[in-house]
Order: sequence, then C-alpha cells, then structure tokens
Amino acid sequence: MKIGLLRKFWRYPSLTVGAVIVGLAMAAAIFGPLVSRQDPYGMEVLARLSPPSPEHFLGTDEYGRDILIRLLYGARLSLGLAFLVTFCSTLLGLIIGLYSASSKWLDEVIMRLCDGLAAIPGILLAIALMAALGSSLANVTAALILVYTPSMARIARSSALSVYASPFVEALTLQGAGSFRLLWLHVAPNALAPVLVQAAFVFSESILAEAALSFLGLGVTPPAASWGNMLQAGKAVIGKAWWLTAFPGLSLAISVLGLQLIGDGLRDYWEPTREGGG
Amino acid sequence: MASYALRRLLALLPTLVVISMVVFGVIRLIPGNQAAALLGLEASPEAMAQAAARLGLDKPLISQYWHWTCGLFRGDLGTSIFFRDSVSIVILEHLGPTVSLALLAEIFALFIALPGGVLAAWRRGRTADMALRILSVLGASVPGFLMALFLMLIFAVKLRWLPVAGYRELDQGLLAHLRFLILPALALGLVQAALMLRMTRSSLIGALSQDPIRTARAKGVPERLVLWRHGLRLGALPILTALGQSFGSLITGAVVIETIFNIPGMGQLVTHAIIRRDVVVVQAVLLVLTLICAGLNLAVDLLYGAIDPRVRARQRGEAK
Repeated sequence: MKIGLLRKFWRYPSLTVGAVIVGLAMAAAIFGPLVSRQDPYGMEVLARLSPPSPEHFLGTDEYGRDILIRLLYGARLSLGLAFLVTFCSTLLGLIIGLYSASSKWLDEVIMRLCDGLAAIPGILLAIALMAALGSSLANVTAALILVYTPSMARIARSSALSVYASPFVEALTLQGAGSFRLLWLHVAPNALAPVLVQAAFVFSESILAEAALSFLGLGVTPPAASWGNMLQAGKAVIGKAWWLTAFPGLSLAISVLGLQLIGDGLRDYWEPTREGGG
Repeated sequence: MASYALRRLLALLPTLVVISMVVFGVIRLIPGNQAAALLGLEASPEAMAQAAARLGLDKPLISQYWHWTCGLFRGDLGTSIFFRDSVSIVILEHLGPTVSLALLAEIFALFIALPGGVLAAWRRGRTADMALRILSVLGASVPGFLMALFLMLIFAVKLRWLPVAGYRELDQGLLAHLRFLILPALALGLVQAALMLRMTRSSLIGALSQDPIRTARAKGVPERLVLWRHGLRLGALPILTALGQSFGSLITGAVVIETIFNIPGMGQLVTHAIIRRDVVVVQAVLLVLTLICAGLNLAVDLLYGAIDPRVRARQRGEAK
C-alpha cells in the first residue's frame, strides 16, 4: 500500500512538488513564529535598512525590524487570510452551485447574478469594495469572498448538472431518495473534483489579491506584517535596499507556484485526458 | 452572422443589469453617506441635508438607481467630488496611458506566447517543450506587480538602461513614449505570455491530431506551414479566448502596475480617488473597465465565426 502511494505521487510530480512547497510554507507560517520568539515589531534604530547578515539573515527594514521574522508573521496573515477566503468561497460556491443545479427557476436567477458578478474583474471589484468599506482585515476577507464565490458557484453548478444527468441519480430518484439526501449524499461528492481544482487556484489568487490590495494600501494596514504591505514598504527604498522587496516577493511567488502546481496536478489526476500530457 | 451577434448582445443584457446594480451598490456601502464623504465630518447638518438633496440621496433607492442608469445612457457618469468636473471627461483623460500600456503588453505577450507555444507543441515531450513548460509555470506564478518591482530593480535601478518611472505622451515622440512603457508593459505581459503559451501549446497539440492536418501533411505541405497556418487556425478558438481574456486582465493589471511606475492612467486615477474619498470616480472606473472587458469578450465571441468555418456553420444551423 505504501509503495503504491509513493508511486502514485511519483506519477504526478507537479502535485507532489506543489504539496511539498505549500506544506513547507504553511509549516513556516504556523511554527516559524513559535520557534524564533523574536518580536516582529521590535525596532533597532541603529540597524535600519541593514543588508542580510548573520544577525539578521534577511536584513532589516526601514525601522530596523527583522525581515525574516516579519516574513514569518506575514505568512500567517497572508496565507491564513487566503485560506479563510478559499474555504468560505468554496463552501458558499458549493452550496449555491448545487442548489442552482437542482432547481430550474433558481438556476436562471442565480446564474444571471453570477454571470454579472463574474464579469467584473476581480481585483477591481475588490479595490472598489475596499475603497467603500475602508481597509481592515475583516473587510479584505469579505470583499475577496464576494469576488471568488460566483466563479466557484458556476463551476460547482456545471459539475453538479453533469452528475444529475448520470443514470445512477435517476435510479436513486426512482427509488424515492429525498432531494436533500440526493443532493448532499450523492451529487455533492461526485461533483467535488472540479471544485477542489478551482479551490487551489482561488487560494493562489487570493494570496495575490491580498498582496496587491495591501500593496496599494487598501488591504492589511501596517504595522501588522503581510507580504503585500512589506512589498509596499520595500518599494519606497527599492534603490538602496533590495532585500526589502526581494524576500517578500520570493515568498509570494513560491507560495503561488506551489498552489498552481497543486491545481494543475489535481486536474491531471482527475482528468488525465484533458491536457494531453507531456 | 448578424442574427448571431444580435442574440449574443441580448444574452449580455441581464449581465449588464447585474453589473450596473453591483457598481451602483458599491457606492452605497460607504459607512455614513456620500454627502458626509463629500463635505467631511465637520459639516453642519443643514449643509449635509442640502448636499444630500442635491445628490438625490433623499429619494428612494430605486429612483436613485433609475436616475443613475438614465445618466449612463447619456454618457453622464456623475460629477467628481474632487475635480468638480464631469467624471466622463476625467476618465477619458486617463484612459489613453492605460490602453497604451495594455496594448504594448499584449504585443509582448503575443510575441513570446505564439512562437513559444508552437515550438513546445512541435517538440512535444522533448527538452525544449519541458523547458518552456517549466518557464511558463514559473512565469505564471509571479504576479505582474512583483515582476514590475524586479524589472525596475534590475533594468532601471542597477543597470540604468530605462527610466525608473514616469510617462511621456505619444505626441512627445513615439520613442520616448515607448521608453517609459517598456518595463511596465513587460511586467504586465510576461504573466499573460506564460498563460497564453500554455493555451497555445495544448490547443495546437489538440489541433495537430485532427483530420485536416493529416490531409495537409499527406498533400506534402511543409511542416512549417502545417504548424503556423493549418494548425494555428484549427486551434485558434481557445487561443483567441485566452487573448480576449488576457486583454481584460491586462487592463485591470495595469491598474496596479501604473501606481508603481507613476503612469497617469486609470490605475493612478482610481488610487488617488480612493485617497481623496472620491467614490464617484472609483465607481466610474469600475464600470468603464468592466464594460471594456465585457465588450472584448463579446468581440472575441463574434470573431470565432469569422475565423472558424465550423462555428459559422453551427451558428447558421442555430439560426434556422
């Protein structure tokens, strides 16, 4: 069994590599701050903007705060927020999509709403919502959930529709299965695969969206560290302190890479014929 | 073709209604109200009530929405709180740099993605294909604004080949215009190039296994023409979709990139408007850019018929 599992991983290298990357990033976010015990807000005025050195592995920022420890705390915030957004929008999208697929008139209304919402470019909608609501952690989360739920609902719906069309659902209906039971016990599990693939992409997109919003000063507000607002701080001194931009940037890119690989890998796993392979 | 276009337009109507409701709704989300945002918190209650009446805020929501929508049809997007000028005019002034930037980025993306995708499909499974696929996965995970910072760091700050930031109008000379746009356009375009390369590769691989290609090869058409003419044409639909969507992402991506390079486009307009609490402008930018994206997607849909004879036949079949 163990060997079989290993072989399976070997057959889907992008899934494996992605899972390792994301696993490491999550572990760093959860355990990093516990191990180091350094203060992410602790300022060393004399060590302002000092380059990477044995004392500060990744250098310090414009207030003399350690970049490494802020990156770890930033990972908590950025990854945690993105995870929450992904979880909520997936759950909401699944509920909306499944019920939409199960009723004809509901479908018309909900899908027209989703079409409209999905037609608005995500980052712009988030920017406008943040401009109206004001920047705060809760508002970013709410805005991004609103942005990503419609696409999730559409995917859940089309996946559920194809499950509804299959003979086993008809058989169950003829046997007299109740609609709630049918929906959640039989249709939902079979419609889940494309939704989970999309969830991996939503995770990576919400990391990027949070970073972009915070970078514009609309997301997580300082002094709390997020990768986005660290990049924003770095931009002002990009000429003399490259490490302020490079390390948060790399963390962001690597996490997104990991999630994209997971998404691609899951898709290959569930739909091996789709891409045509290498 | 005309009836197909008409049906696509009609299908767009409900989407447009939802878009307009959301965009209208955004401005109502502001804590307090628009009059307070306009006058500041110290304004007297009388002044506040007066401003509210002038903006029509004392009327019921549905009539406000009706009024606003009627305004849209006249090209009236409201009056900017900061500029004290028609928002339509303000937007027109800022649209040029954004479109210029997105176009240049699209050109970069196409010049990388098409040859790259064709090469990868042609050498499928070989080293070149693997290298391009890895590069495209890497490229797709670096967001535009990050790419912008890295490019700025390397080419403007360290090497000093290109200006760090700023913008020159087209009428100050094409070369100056391009010099200031190269880095931002490259930053924007590379991500899209990666996505489009993957799309080109997979749709070309799909196309190469189809009958017309076998016929072409059997007739002795050179491989170069098989790939570039027959293959790309057969696989054009997904590529074209990706192109339409990419222009949408480029326009919105430009919003963030512009603030980095200090380009006076829609992005700068919206970020400044947010700082000035000029929500009417934010709302208008949201609406205009969304409509541009929706229009592009429609255009791509309509182009399908023009490019692929099979789609045209299906459209005719539907119309009967």
